[in-house]
Amino acid sequence: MIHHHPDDNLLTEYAAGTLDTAQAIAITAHLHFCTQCKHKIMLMEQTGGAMLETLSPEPIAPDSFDSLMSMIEKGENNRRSTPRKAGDLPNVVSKMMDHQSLKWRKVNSSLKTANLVAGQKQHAVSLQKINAGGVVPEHDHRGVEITVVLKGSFSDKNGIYQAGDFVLKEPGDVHQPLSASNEDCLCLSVESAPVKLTGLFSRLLNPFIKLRVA
Amino acid sequence: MDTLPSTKQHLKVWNDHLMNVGRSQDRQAFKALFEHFGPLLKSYFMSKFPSQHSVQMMDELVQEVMIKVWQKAMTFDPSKAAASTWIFTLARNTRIDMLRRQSKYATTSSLETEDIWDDTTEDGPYQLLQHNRDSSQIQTSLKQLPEEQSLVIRKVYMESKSHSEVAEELNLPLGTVKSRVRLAQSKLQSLIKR
Repeated sequence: MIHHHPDDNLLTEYAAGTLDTAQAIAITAHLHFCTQCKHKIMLMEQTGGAMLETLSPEPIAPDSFDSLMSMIEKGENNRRSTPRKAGDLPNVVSKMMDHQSLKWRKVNSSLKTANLVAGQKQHAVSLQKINAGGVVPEHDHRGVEITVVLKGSFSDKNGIYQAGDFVLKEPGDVHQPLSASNEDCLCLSVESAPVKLTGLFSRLLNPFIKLRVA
Repeated sequence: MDTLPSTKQHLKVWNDHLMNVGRSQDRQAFKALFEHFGPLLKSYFMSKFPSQHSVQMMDELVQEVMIKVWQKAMTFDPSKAAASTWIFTLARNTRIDMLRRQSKYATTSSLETEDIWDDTTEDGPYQLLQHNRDSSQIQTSLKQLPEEQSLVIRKVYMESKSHSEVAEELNLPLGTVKSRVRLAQSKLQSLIKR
């Protein structure tokens, strides 16, 4: 059962196609698990379709249909339907994983991270793996960080997050994620700016932050 | 032939045309779809890119959408989505494709827009949608929204503006735009579920 969802604003921007690619990937990953949000998206897309019908038509060049048909005839073999692999992981995530060699980097004894190539430079998209029973250093967020649980579960002071749960953290949200004791937790993470660790010692562990001489 | 755009009969016509294109590559049906949706799609693209791009480019974007309609019509299932809904998702993805091609933030990637924004009507929780298929019902519900909400919703969907762009344009705080969108969405959800 999924308890943590994107809000209607994020879903609306996704359905309207204005959300940036990386955050949209996080929404798609969540939709893989979440019937309720998938239903909302479909309703939002129906709204888009209904509005399309109410626009005032703009005339098209008269030869446009004929040139369209000749383009189609040239590429006649392009009729396609795209088969999807059904799997545990969202298609969008497994496709990224299949097309690159993942380089896992150890952040501390319980947390590993691997960057994903997501076709954009505005967000850091990565996989995060927390060992069973592992603890991630307490950290704040300098930008928006979205985490979608893909396997296993983790918890923090606000709740427990299981496969499919969508967690959005903003600057000022300090938390210390803790993995369930019986299995590893795999998450998709989309960050608009590097996460900032809050504990003094943790600074040494944060790969994103340059150390300053105090 | 000229029926009111909001009648159910009218909507069924487009679904049937799409089915025929999918099943037998019916060119007459495809032409009818082009003549109806082409000018609406052009209007959609023009509201996002006013005057920055040539008219010819708008026609090319329309053609790009209609090529996808031709190529993918066999995946269209009218029991799962209305023609206008599916064509809206194709248009939205075509616009995203174009922006991704032009974006200075874009890098090469194995991901296609369709991997991120699904455009198939094949899978999904359709059992929930039994009462939600009818876009004439949605049009009626849209008319019942307060003006301030429907204006914001229109800018978001048809002009493809982010919440912050809408806030800036209407000179409203971002929080106000966000709450209008949420109010409109929950109203639409409740009106349609009735």
